[in-house]
Amino acid sequence: MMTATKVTLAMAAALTMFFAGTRDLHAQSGPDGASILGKADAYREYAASGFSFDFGVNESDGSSSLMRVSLAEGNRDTSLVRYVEPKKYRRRVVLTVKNAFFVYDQGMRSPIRITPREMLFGQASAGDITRIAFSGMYSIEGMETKDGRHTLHLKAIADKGATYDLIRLTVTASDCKPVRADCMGSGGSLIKTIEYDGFGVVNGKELLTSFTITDSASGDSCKVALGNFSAETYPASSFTVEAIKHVR
Amino acid sequence: MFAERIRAALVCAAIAFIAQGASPESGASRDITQELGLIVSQDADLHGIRTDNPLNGDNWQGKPDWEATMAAELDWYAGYANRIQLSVNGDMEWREWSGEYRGDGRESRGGTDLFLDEALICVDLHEWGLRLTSGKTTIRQGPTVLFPVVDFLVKDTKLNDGQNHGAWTTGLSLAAGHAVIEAWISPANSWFRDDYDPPGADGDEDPMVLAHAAFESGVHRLGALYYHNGANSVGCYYSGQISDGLIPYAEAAVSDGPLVRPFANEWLRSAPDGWSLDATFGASWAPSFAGVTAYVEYRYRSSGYGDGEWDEIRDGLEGLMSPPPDYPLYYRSCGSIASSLPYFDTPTHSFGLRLQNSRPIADALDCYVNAFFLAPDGLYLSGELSLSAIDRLRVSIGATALMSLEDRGEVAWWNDAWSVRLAASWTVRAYE
Repeated sequence: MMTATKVTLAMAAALTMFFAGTRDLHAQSGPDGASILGKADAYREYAASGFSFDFGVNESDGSSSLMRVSLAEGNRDTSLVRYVEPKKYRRRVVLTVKNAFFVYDQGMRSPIRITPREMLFGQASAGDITRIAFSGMYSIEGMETKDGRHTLHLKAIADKGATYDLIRLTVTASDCKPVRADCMGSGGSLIKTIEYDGFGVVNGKELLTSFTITDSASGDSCKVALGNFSAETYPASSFTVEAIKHVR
Repeated sequence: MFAERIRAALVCAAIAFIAQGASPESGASRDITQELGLIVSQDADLHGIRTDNPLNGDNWQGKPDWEATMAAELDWYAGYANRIQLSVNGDMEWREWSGEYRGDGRESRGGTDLFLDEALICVDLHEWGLRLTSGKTTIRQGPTVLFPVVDFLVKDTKLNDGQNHGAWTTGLSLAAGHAVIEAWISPANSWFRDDYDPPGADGDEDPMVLAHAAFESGVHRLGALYYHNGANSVGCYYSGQISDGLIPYAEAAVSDGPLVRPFANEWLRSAPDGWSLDATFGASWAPSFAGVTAYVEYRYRSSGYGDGEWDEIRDGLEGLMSPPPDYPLYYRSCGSIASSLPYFDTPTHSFGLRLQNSRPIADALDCYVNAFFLAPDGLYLSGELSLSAIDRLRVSIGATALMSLEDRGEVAWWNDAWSVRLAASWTVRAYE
């Protein structure tokens, strides 16, 4: 009886170890959502510290605009967007602090606060321009792998400055390169689709260089080109509401 | 001699520090950047003046039937290595106007007026988040769009019936994380206070001090101010964000003097002493179904004027008008007093609505409409439609109308007055 009990316990222990081992093995070999998201984000990270880049928008009607985006050193949720083209907006500067936006323009006495909905260029929203990373702003609610691609279901984390409530992000399984993002409202209704269609090597690092944004309601789309990456950015003291009227 | 050496050493140290900051190792840019901008504009205003207005008989307030202004605004900016910035902005204006009110001077042409709006030098010590600023500039804080109450310095530097051309001042600001602290001072008896007209007509006898602190947390922004200019005032403001399209905001100020700007001619009506309170509550809303932004605001002013105050002012002016009406000096002095009235800034209760397009219509058109109710019975309406073409030319047409529903209060002075403005501007900018 004693022997039988010992055998039973040993088998149970062996089975437990087997399943535990399998689970560990699965954890080691299976895709890790956070890691995938981090790798996908890396395609927009020119430098670990502050940096700047051009954000050009070409709309389907032929009009175009160009902005210079500068990210604060050590503070990914703070950025400055300086309008370069068209010339009529040349003195316009937008400061983004998380999901709050302040704009200064020619003739203004002081910057005014605007809603995210007001800061649009083509189909590109404020978040599309200034947000370069999903990590930290979105939690991973689920993940599927099919046809060599991972699809991550992302949900906005409150007060983190996320632009959309829900995102369905598709990346390649081989190198986690972003392919497509379906951006949705809280009810799951599709707001816009972003197709990541251009990558290039800049200073030895592969970076996202273009994407296409399509508004799901109107069907209008615009092409965004990223370029002229530089490790230079404004000093931290320029990333304040009080200072942006002096930013050139 | 010793002090001279110390001063020279400090200047050398400052130059060395700036040069060091501009080196590549510091991460700051070494670029010298320059920007030169010129805006040439021409506008014509047509005024509808009711000469049968009981408060403006024979147009004694002296408003012209039309006026035309040509202006050239020049701005120059030079920056070195994100370290030193120099900006100068000024404009030249030529004015012509025509009106019946002076008889012998029906048509007049003004000389060239020169206005300096900004002449500012900023030095950034960004290793410590410090910025030192000195010169002439306009400083305004607070999130309100229509009825600000914590813009203390802007109110005090307003020229009578004219533009605001800033104040000569020196400031130091410190930015750390999501907080900013700044202090501005203008010493008493300074050479540089020409546009500075503090209440109480103390002139340069009082120094000006403005201290401001702001803090951001998520979408919330809070600020507090202290302002001394003869009187002492404190203020605070808040702005937040609800969803992607709604921003609520508020401003409040308390002073140991009247917060309503006083008349230049205080003998006509002197503002009561004692504590006063101003508060504005408002919101901006950009709905998802239309490309429009709406601003709604309400302002309360405890030191504001009601029927009684305006009756008092009218009685005083009628007394002044009693000498022979053909004596032009009296008309001139009446007009001078009228031009010093703090128009549309005095009601105890003000409600405002502004609608504007949140993005250009057809990539070329912008428009706005303002509608104010100024207690007790005044309506102020204005609107503008502007067209931007070939990226440099802007043409606009605007209209303003004033209506007093019961001939009481401030707007009764301008009942049924209107104006139409046609304007065009051409912008040229160069960079290197």
